[in-house]
Amino acid sequence: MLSAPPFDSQLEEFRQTTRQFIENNLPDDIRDLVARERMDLPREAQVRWHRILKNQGGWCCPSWPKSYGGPGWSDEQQYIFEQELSLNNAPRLMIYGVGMLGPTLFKYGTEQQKARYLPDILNGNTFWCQGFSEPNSGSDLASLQCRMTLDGDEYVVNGSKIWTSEAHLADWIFGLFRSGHGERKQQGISFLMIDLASRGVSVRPLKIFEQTHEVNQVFFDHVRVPVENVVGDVGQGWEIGKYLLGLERFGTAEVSRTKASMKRLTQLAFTTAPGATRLIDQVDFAERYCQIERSLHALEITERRLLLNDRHTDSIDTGASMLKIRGTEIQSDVFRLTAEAHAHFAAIDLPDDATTNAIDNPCQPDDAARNYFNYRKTPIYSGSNEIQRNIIAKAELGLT
Amino acid sequence: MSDSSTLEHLSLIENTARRFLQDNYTFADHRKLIAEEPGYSVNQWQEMADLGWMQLPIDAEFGGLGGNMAWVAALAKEFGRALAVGPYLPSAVISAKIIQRATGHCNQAQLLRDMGSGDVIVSPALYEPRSRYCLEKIAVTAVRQNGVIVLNGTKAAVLYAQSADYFVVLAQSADPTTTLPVYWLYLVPSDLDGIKLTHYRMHDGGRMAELNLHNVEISESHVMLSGPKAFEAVEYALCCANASICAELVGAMEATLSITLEYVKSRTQFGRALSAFQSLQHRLVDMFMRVQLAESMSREAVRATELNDRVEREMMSSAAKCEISRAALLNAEEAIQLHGAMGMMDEIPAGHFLKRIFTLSMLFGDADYHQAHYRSLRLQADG
Repeated sequence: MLSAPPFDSQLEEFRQTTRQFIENNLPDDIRDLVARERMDLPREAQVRWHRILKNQGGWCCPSWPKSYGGPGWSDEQQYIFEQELSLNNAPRLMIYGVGMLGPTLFKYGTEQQKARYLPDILNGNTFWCQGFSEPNSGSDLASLQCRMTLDGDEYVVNGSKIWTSEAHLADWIFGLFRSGHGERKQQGISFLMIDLASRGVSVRPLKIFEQTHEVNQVFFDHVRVPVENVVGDVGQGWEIGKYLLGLERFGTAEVSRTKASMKRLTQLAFTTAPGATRLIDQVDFAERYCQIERSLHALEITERRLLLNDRHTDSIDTGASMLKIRGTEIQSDVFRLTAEAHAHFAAIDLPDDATTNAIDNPCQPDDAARNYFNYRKTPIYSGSNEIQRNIIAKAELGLT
Repeated sequence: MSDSSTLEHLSLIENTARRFLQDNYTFADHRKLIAEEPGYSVNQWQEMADLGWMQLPIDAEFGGLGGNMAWVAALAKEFGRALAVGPYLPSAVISAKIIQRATGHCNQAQLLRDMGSGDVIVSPALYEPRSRYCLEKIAVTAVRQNGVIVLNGTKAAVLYAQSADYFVVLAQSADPTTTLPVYWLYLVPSDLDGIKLTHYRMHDGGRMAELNLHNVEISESHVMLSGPKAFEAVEYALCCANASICAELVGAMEATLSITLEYVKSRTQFGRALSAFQSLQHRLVDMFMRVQLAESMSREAVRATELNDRVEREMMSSAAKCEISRAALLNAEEAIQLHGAMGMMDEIPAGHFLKRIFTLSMLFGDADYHQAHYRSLRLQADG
């Protein structure tokens, strides 16, 4: 196995402490769901784990400073903690409230907004989702049309948001809305928070082809939203949105999630089924396996280099874009190889509640193919890989 | 993970080397020098020695600058950027690393001092005509008779043999009745009777030779190492070579990307710059990402030289060479394609970078060799 260089002893001790805590406190039912690569965890499970971390000194909000109830960790500590969560099959952190809205309110929110919304995120009382894409605004996000019109001391919102992950679980949505028209389409966009219980909001489930329900379309029909729900200034939404997406620095490459997936594939590949050859002893399989292992290692080292500034000259502005592209490409490769590792059993489509399986191995074959199908989303979401390439072309290479 | 004094040294080496090569080794200089013998400037070699470059890979106890492969890699990266060729890799890196481990009577200390000052050049003679990259089946024999050691056989892929004062020859003892170890490393003066060299030019302008040994007589004073220690010394030196080559490839990749970017921004077709076409932009972004990932792996190739565990060290080193040489070749091909017909011209550097990258990728194990080596080690490691 290739392993990245260790951090200093203090940080490695921190790693041991967090690992121990996760191992001892992560409920088995949640660990099982995550080990099966499910991203569609029930709200109850997410909140239960969130609160366990919360009681450990705000670990549920790793990027939050102590003054807001977080642990006040350094970049290195956050990086290590996220690694340990992944490698020990703990759920992803609640990205929308914890990872995005929280830090956005630290920077752009009023004191009233911080006081009202942050404690509920920290305590796991409010569940947030994010409304960016629209039916006619995908990669071209700035063309969004869902509009907010001032009427007295309220905005009236009309239109819809689509591909909204977890809207069916959420209490609130934040997002970008059209508040006016400027010379450039990026102008006249505002950042707004909306209570999903408001009159006129409806959520329509959108089923993914492999049958899970993760995303939705959210409709706004004359929804009245108090003016104090605007974050930052009216018209400042594009800037805030860019800031917020930039916060996803450690997340989108999913390097350590993919390492955990590789661990599962490794178990499968190095185990001998009775009367069979080990997969790893088949040259073609082994070459593909080793190729992924090397690519993933290169990405991990790159992530360390670019995000943690191993050498001060290494930082590049578009690091997150590059990591997202390569990370999702490699992740897709892992899921495909894992599915193919099951031979014809990968073709079996068991019902979701099936508990028994003829083949005894660490990754159920029906999960393997389903995961392969499901994770086709990653090169598309959070700014498609083509958009990320546009960003690098422009910002890094000066190609226009 | 790197402390600040190391970082200072690194940028000092990088800046000095870049300035020196910009002033003394332009693309025009490169083409001129490789066309004549010995394929590099002997004066420049001495100037580089005066700058301390030959001492970089040598440990302080032998009068060197410490042997830190990160520093050697920083220098090699600049060589790659400038297309600079010469005996640095075979002599200053590989031979020096082997000689440092010598336990025989070959006057190791004096030799390393002379190599460090640039006065002596040593080239490793390890591979054989039919062995490809395998070093485990050696056909060159060493037989002890009448108080001397007699060498016979042929060594292949000996770099800059005509400039070498000595060869480090890997041989096996031929007498099956003795209990002597199988592998031997000898330091063989290049002017001995019975040595015949057949010289070749490489595509990047470098020099390579076949070394024929016919009843070459040497003495005990030429013995460097024997048995498993000989093999370990070679393996470790090639791990260092890998770190150096990987860095050189990354330097070449950076330069290749930068000339290509310059070209697509200046060339106009269909009324706009080539750089405005999205399909080309995305290919350039992929080139850029490969450079970044290669840079990461090249640092891992350096870190490999510092690892104690053999399996871990060899896996990391092979992973780096395999990934970087594939990425570098792909980038060089893309660079030519993005230059269009101009990319095929001898007078612009794109094709010369392909030749350099291809040559480096074929030396001391190509991508397939390192891929297979990685796989076999991976199977030894635990699941």
